Amino acid sequence: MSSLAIISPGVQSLVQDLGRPGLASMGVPRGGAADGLSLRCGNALLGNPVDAPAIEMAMLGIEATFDAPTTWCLAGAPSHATLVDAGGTSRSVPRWTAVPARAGDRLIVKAIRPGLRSYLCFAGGVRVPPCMGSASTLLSCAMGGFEGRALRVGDVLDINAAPPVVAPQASASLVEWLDATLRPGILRVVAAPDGQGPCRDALHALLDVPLRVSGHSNRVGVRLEPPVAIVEAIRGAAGGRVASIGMAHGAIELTPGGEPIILGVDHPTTGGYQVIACVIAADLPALGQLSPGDVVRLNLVDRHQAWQAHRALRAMLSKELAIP
Amino acid sequence: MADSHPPEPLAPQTRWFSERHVQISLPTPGDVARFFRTLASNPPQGLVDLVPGAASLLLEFDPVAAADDSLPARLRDLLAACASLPDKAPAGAVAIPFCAEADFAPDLEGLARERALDPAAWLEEFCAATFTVDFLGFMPGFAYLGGLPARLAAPRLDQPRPRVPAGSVAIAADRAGIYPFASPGGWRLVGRTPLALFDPAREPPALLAPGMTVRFALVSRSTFDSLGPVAP
Repeated sequence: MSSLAIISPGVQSLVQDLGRPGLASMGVPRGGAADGLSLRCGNALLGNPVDAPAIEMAMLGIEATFDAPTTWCLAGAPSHATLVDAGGTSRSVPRWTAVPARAGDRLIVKAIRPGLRSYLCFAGGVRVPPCMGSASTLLSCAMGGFEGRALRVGDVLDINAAPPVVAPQASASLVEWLDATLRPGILRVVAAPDGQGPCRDALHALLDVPLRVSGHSNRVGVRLEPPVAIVEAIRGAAGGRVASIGMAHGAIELTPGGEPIILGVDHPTTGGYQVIACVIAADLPALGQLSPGDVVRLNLVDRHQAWQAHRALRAMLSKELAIP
Repeated sequence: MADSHPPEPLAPQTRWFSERHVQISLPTPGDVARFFRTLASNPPQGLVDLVPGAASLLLEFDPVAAADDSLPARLRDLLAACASLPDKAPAGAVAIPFCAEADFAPDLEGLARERALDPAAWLEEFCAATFTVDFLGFMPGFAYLGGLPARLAAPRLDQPRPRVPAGSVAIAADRAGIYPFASPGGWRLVGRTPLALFDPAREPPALLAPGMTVRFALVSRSTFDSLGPVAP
């Protein structure tokens, strides 16, 4: 076992795994990595179970020291990472590569861009007490993860012991595919019942136009700012719903003011706004990488195309990383 | 392009919510709870989660299972089986102690005034009511309680509060609810309970479950304090 001492915590660094499926009927959000694809790939490169807990960093990376030899891997959005040894010699470290650190090595991860989130995965995984079967941090309830909160200066995280990793590295074609998958510039959506009924015109007005990601976005939801003329055209299209309905990661709610909100991993399990469409499963990782100021377009596809996209994603993971 | 395939018939009152979610509309919270119990105890292959709503149930599937040609037929059979099951007996009764001192109940006086009642009379009617847990949602352990007397019903606030304290007892429209955690919220606050509505270390973590009956019992501030503060 080794441990990681946090010198600088970044903006919001959270211990996350793949969340807590199956508890929605108690009001518990799924949670987990906002970009589950990067977490799974980072873990696979280290020989970990794909859902091993890692550190999700948003906007800015952490700075931390290892107290014992540890193999780690940087996954997700690009960020400049360096490893500085006890003698002061530093080297740049690429993403999607398992890297051995020695005792006393200092890891520095700088600004994350383009994209929003990078994942620090460790051979063996981060060790935190499980909360309802998961290591995920749920900030709204101060539960799970490391003391239910974002990492702070001085925190020391335990890393589970792990068998040595035989220096695996993602292939060039996998890296190219991952970058395209995480930053496609579009999100493919399927129409939800309200988007085929009362909000059909509003949904179609929002397709294939530039939508700006608001700064008021987080793990609960990504707020989109459509062009002003479109907001004016669709304002009032969605009335408030009376009965709460079960919600979904990727569901696009339309507020009466004409503001689309795409629900993120920590979304409330039920909601009252009308749902015009849902982001397809294959594009949820890209949703987790949308950063304030980004411009994204919604492309309408049908269920069969959504299923096909999911099969293609699975086939790539199976071929490149033997992820089932 | 979209809509290039004809819609696949799923089952009555059932529609695709996404390529991996199926939404079933159901007439009453009792139906939602019954379908939930049946599906949870005998989950169809590839089911990832079940999300009850006020008059609907959302089924999430693994996309591979959702794409399986046999899903619509299996769902039809399963839902037909759910529909023919009898209602299960109520799942127990819970008494919720709550204190309605002014700082815990900022909306009580206004609610009472709207109904030409004094606050004590409003609370008396509230405590005489027997509520039923319709479903849990919104946040961990938040129970939507049906059974608010029509005379006490009131719409939610126009402007939600940025922070509703944990334990707040509240009403909105024809329902009551209790906030397990501090959060922004638009329900009207009529008191506060010291009980922990949700504790991940407890089994089950949620104090309330669908079908349970709930009654509220007014307690003094000193009793509230002696029962201990709620978590966050």
